[in-house]
Amino acid sequence: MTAPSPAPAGTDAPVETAATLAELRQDVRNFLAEWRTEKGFVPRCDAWMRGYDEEFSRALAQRGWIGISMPRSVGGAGRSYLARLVVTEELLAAGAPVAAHWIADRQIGPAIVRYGSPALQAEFIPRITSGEALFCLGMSETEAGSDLAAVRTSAVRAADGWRISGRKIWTSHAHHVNYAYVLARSSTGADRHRGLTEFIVEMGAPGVTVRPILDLQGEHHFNELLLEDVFVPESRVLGQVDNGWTQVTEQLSFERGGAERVLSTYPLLASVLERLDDTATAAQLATVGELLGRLQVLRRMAADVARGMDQGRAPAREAAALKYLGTEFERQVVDVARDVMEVEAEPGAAGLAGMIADGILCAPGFTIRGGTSEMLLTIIARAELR
Amino acid sequence: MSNGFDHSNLLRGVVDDVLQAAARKDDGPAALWAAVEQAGWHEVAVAEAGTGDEELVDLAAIVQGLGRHGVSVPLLERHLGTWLTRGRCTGGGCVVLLPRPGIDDVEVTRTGGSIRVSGAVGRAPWLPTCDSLLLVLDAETGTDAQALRIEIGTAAVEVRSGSNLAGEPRHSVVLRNSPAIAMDVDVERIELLRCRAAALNAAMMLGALERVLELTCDHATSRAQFGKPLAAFQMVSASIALISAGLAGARAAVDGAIEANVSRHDPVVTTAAAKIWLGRAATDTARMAHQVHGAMGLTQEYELGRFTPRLLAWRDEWGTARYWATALAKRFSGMPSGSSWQQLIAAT
Repeated sequence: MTAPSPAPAGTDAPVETAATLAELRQDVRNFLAEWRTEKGFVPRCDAWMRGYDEEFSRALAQRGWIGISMPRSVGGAGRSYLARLVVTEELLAAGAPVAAHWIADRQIGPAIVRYGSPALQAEFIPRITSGEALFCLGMSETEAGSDLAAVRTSAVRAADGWRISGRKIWTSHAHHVNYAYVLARSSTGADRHRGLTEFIVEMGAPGVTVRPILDLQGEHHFNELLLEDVFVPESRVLGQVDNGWTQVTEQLSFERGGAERVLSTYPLLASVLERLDDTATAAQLATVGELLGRLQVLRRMAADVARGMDQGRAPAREAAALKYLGTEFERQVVDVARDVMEVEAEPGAAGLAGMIADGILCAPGFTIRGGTSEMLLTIIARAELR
Repeated sequence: MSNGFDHSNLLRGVVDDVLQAAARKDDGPAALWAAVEQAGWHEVAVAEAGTGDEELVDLAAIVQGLGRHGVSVPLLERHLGTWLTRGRCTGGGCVVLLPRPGIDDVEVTRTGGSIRVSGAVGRAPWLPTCDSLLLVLDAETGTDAQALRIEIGTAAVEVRSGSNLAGEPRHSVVLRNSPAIAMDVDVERIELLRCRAAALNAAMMLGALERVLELTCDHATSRAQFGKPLAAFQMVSASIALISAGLAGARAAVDGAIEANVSRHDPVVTTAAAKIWLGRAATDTARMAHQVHGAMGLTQEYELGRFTPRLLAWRDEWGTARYWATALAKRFSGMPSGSSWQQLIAAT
């Protein structure tokens, strides 16, 4: 399979320099400072998954920070992937509640830009960039996790569109958002990588049911998404019929190279740093220092991925390595916080004790979602041993 | 930038050609150094180049090549002395001796116009071939920044032979009231010296990691047991994937460290990051590569033996990972949440 290329940023984009990126970074910091003062938010780990706040998302949208790297011609800000990295780094480091728009901004918007018809782009991109169109991912099923091509949700042709039936699982925030991206099987044949189609489904359409799944902490973000003969008009097919596999693997490769694969637990690391004082032992300092060093390298890797995308490349291998290494780091932050801080985890407590508890129970998901570490290492090994 | 990419590819090719030719001749260390001088590598990144130091990128690629070919020449050490003295010190006498913080102990006494030095400094490279050394002291040794030239052949200086894990010369120097001459060097360069050395050391380790991954893949695909190549076993291919991932990070780490040493903008943070990452990668890669290679990799004869001892030695030179990690942690400890993040960003 040839490596796909990302859609380049809009050709009418302003020239990106270190200065423009630094200015953007400061703007985001200023916004966060204001938001903290006026609304307050409690920084938490994994905020891009768990911090759902539509008002916050709309405020970001007003400043042009959702869809920042989508071309201006379709309603984005036309800036670089590096610009998106700068914005997302600041939001994630602050533990800000970005979950509502995250999927739309990270992958569905870019997928629509890349493969959507002009009508679909006109219908959705402005509403994604305004923070109004919010998406959940109808990808995984009980029998199709890492093996995404094994999806059984079916799409059958109907008059002027399709009827979709099936059950999706692990669909975060399906209970909140207005749209679902759905990957379904549109035809069967010898090659199961053919015959998949991507759809945009209205959450309010007849036949759509959402059932909550509580996670280890008793939090509700996961859901089952039941689709019973749901009608989807032809205009809401994303890209080409039966071309879904090529399209979705492109989504996945971009999903892996972002700052959220490194910074999910930064709020916890920041708290640890704040608490380290003169009584810290040499061993404690060395352990925390190692984390800081690894963080800097991982940030550089994420910047290299963004630069690659800005140059029109699709750095799938680098993104896989980054996701593997970054999520291991995220987990290590939690382990080090426990070891070094001598603070017992206390669910719901304010400060470090609560954050450690949160981190411990969030951690198992890091290396599973968006491509398990086992899958990533398999991809890397195959590339090396070709 | 495609120009930068083409240039670095070209340089890599040239470095490989020179070192492969030297390896074929196999005429010993002196001939190897002659090849280095003939290629002009001892003069790279020494001359003043505007306000920046862009040639350091080329020097990093060259020493990375030394690592990739498992070759021992004192290019890094000689470069440091030549650079520190802005080219006034060349040849064997400008090897830099940088005391290890917390380990080596040096005392300087000044009476009238004369300077005397006492103490012990370990792990000095390449000394018996030199007639003098350049002892560089800085805040890490608890003294003012200064560079002192010390003649080796006197009774006041004792050189005890030693080597590192890879058999490279690493001697101990005992100074007993040794006379020294203060060299007129920029304090700024003394302050940059540790980071410059560590960043180049990281580049050397990167080169060695590259070759170790190659060797490991070659071995795993060609060696068969139970009717299939080793690579067909998941436990083996997993190790290869882990080595590869570590190498991907190592590339980014070295790029960051070299860039910061070129710009001279807060190089401690990214240099520390590189030493930390490369130290971990060297340890893990050496271990996994030996596992995949089995008994054959445990011999001096087989090529792996040229690389893993070097990785295991180099990871602790120019500051251990622990030293650099501690420096980083001290820098950021006690900072409020927003500040630590801002500082981390500002250093890159």
